[in-house]
Amino acid sequence: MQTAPDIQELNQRIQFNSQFVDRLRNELAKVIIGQQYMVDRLLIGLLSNGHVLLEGVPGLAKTLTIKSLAQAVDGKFSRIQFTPDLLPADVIGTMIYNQSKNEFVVRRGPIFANFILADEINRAPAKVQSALLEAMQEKQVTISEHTYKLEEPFLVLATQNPLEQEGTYPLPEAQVDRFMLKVVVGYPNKNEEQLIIRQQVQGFDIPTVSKVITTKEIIECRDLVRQVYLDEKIEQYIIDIVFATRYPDQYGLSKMKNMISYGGSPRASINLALAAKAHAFMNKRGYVIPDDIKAIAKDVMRHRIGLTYEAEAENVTTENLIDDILRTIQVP
Amino acid sequence: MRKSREFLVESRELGFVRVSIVILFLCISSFSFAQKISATVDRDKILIGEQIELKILVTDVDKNTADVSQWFNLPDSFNHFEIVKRLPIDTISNSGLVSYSQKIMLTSFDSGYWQIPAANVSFNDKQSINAMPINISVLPVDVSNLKDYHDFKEIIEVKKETDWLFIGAIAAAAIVLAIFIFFLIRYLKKRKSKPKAVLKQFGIKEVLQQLDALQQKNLIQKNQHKLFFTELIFICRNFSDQQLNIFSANKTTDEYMLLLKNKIGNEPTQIKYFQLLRLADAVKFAKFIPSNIECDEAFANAKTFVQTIYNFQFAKKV
Repeated sequence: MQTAPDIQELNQRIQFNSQFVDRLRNELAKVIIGQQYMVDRLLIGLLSNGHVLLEGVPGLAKTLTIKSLAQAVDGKFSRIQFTPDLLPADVIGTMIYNQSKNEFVVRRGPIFANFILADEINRAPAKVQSALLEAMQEKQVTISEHTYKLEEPFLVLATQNPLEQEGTYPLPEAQVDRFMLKVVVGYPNKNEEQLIIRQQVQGFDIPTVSKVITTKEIIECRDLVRQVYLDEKIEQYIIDIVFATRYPDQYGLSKMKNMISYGGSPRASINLALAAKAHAFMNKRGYVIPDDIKAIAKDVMRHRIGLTYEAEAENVTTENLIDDILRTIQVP
Repeated sequence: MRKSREFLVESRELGFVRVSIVILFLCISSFSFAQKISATVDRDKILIGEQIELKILVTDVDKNTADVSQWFNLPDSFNHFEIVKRLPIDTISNSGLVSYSQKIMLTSFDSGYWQIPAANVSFNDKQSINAMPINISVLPVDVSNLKDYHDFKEIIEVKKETDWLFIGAIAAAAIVLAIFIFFLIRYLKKRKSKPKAVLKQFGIKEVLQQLDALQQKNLIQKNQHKLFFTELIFICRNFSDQQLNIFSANKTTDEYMLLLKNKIGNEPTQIKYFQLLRLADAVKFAKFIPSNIECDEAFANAKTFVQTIYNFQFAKKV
């Protein structure tokens, strides 16, 4: 497509810099069969500096994907298994006494890494969740009197199991809102499942993931992502989508009014724009088109819309509501 | 003798004075304590279980000097009587004096001659007044001549009357409905069979007029390329929606192109229209400013597209 000169130049830079995306996809495909959607969403999170909440039943290669992504990006990976007895100090670190030096020294927690996998985040009490989410927001951690900046890129990928809700501490809406994307990880299809069986059962060597890009390059790409052009018409489209979740009757969606207890926050609009830019970047474009918005709308919005009891009683999900909104709002 | 007669006269006078003082005292006391009480019943003979209304009335009470301190109180059950209902005490004020009254419903289940005790009311000045006791005769019920219950009787069958008026109304309504449906089907069949060429012709004329009006706005000359392409695509999309009976307002360009694929009727026109859509996206979302020649070409392509899609759809229908 033809573009304005400045966007043309941006396009060229993006086409050059986004080459790693395909290489990264191919590299991850060596170890992860299927789950292309999840991989793409993790990349969107990585490129737009947003954290990702993954929801899916156990055994869908969530941990393997994140671990492999960390290897491919050459970043430090750390996994925290959230349990009911976990303490904030177990996540961020604490002061320990060094007998030889006769002083307290800082012992940094697992949060000091580029890629954090917060496994089953809803199993830990609220204070641990808060400690992690605060670090996610501020990108820094305070231990005793010292404040430590977290190394960039800093990406938290939290997982949640939709089953076994007994004895869990569901994340409050305000904290879920801090995740840029909530990705629902689905089952692989038949062919993918067959390949998984062959890979795991027939004793083939599981290939290792090689480094595709450095963390420094990722940070450079992030700058480029921010430069992706977002037209006023697209901004208006984003606003319409978010406002339709707040005031559905103004958009001819009166039926939805009783289904929504609260709509998307301004953070939803911001993240919709950022994620759309990252999506455009991954598609080697220097500008956002409505397809980018539609592609990421569900992942950005699904955890930002509150359902009423009426909606739950009628088995209406946030995905259904977002579909209805996208079907109703006029595309620019 | 005279002395004894004088003494007799003196003692008589003294006696008269004493009697006068006593009468005066009685009069004063009767004036100072003027409240009255009465206890009345509506009947003094009842059958067992019948009710009597006992009314206790205290009048001429001066609340300033002596108000009622204790009201006549009957127990729920007394002297073969039972209290059925006790109404609240009513107060009536009349020219500074107050009257109190209460109605009590009584009954008795024992035959005989029974007495309602004297009603007694006390006042603040430790005075009290009593009404007369009331005697009531409670008579037994004569059950010897009570009638027997009626026997059960057979159910009498009632013959249904045929409501010819109602049946006639229903039949008339059914006939009217059938005639209406007959004419409606005939009308719809006629309507279907009519070619819609006239309507479609008006559609194409209208859309071509809209395109001409857009051109006359000279938006390209005014450097309003974005507005020009937005309106151009809006006209084309609206027309294709109308012709193909689709709704593309909520579709992105890619989704819209998928809907149109192989429905335009001419491959080169389709390609050119898709190029126009891409160009419009570039103008709308990527700040692209096409040359005047490109704009003219885009406009010509849009005109060709609406004409082609119209001809193709018209030919299909005819």
